[in-house]
Amino acid sequence: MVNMKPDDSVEAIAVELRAQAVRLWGEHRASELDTSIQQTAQQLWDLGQETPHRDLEPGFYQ
Amino acid sequence: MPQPYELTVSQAAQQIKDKKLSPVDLAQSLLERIDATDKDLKAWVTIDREEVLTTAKQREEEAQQGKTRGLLHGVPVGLKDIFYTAGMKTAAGSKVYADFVPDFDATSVAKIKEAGGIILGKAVTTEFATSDPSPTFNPWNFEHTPGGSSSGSSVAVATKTVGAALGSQTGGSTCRPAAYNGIVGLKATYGRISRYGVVPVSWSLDHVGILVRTVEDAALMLQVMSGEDANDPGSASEPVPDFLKQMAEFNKPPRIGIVSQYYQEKSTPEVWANTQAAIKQLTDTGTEVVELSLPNSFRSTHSAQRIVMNVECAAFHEQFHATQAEDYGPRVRSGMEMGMLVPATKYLQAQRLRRQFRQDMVQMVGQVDVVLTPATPAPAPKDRNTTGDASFQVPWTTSGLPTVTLPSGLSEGGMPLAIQLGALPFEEGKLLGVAKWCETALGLQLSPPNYS
Repeated sequence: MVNMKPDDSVEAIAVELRAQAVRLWGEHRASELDTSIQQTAQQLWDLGQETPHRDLEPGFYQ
Repeated sequence: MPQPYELTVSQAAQQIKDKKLSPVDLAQSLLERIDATDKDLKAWVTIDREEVLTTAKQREEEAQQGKTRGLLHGVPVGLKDIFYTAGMKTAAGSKVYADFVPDFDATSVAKIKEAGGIILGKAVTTEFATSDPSPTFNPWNFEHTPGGSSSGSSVAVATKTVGAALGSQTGGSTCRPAAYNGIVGLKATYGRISRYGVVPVSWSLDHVGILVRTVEDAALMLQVMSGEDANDPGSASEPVPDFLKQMAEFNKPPRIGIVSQYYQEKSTPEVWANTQAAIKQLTDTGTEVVELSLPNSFRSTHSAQRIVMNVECAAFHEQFHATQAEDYGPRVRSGMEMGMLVPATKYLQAQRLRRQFRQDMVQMVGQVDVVLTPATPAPAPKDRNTTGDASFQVPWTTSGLPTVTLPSGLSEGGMPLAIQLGALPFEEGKLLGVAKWCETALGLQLSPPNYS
């Protein structure tokens, strides 16, 4: 499972994602996914910079 | 006297009602137009000519007896190949769905048929409506992308092989190809049009889209397809007003909001100048223009959209991926694999941030009749390995607010440019009224030179 702490850097998140990708699909496929992993790490980091109001529930169907 | 294939949906429907146009002649004209153009353009994937002509004959007989089923009586409509059609292949541009033949119609397809419309055929989609480019060509210049994912639907409408086609939008897949091909695109409020029977990318982000050549046709198609559907858990119970009436009754200069922040920074100077020129034309008609500021929650909206889309895409495809991963295109596959890596907590945080963003967008948009932005940061890229940039649509898709895109000029290189208008949830009547106002003020209808 992917382990992430709220204050992880983009690089630390990418390392976690990559380790999980290797576990699921092997080293070769994980290497092919490097660019996507970097982008996803950045997106997850972006989300981590926001603090939703404690009473805010998820939207799902708008 | 225009050829039948040149008619807009509204014109064709009126002429059929008035017994001045035969549905068979219209269908035949469109099929011949497809024969003449599609070898080059590759906008269509499945057409059942016999069924089209048989249905057209039935509609013709009904019309001759003065019986019309509804607003689309005798008018052919195209469908992106992700809409379920009973008995007709729905391959979603993918090897994984290559032999899938649904046994029921999508709700939107059923509504088109109820209104007397004829399903002309299925238009090419990018694989599973994501970002691996389709084989379709942009009729303005074959070296440029037609956009995606509703590439076939957009090109079919732009080249007059059909007057209206359905698309879909999870990021920018209706309004962006509309802009790249010089036509009108409408993405209604999330929940306004049922998604039931549409192959999903992401359940909570997917919208049915409308591709047409005029704002009036967008209103007509919306009228036909809107309404609550118990089969779609995201469907809204909001009453369906008379959009055509609301559009026609909007006859005062609108109050328009512009957002220079972000949109100016991201646009090419040419696109921004074109948008400013369009605004100038609108202010000449009395339009009031107000500068607005994006909410703070805008910062994470593109990331939230991507996380939600990838995770939901992964959930839908998980079983196919387990056995057929190699059958997917590289981008759709990597997107779903990224979704498989995202922790559940992060997915839920993305959904919470979306909700905050929607609330903030409602506050911002509520200050004006509509918000006007460029439709895309640049014209269709000269690169067939991309489907272009959806970043100007993503905030509207993520928040579920309705938008319409309409042509606003040509680039120096001869490619279409467009503006995008966004409104409050379920205020499509006003949105279309302002869009009609803009369409009239700009006085522009684009047509690719070799396919006019």
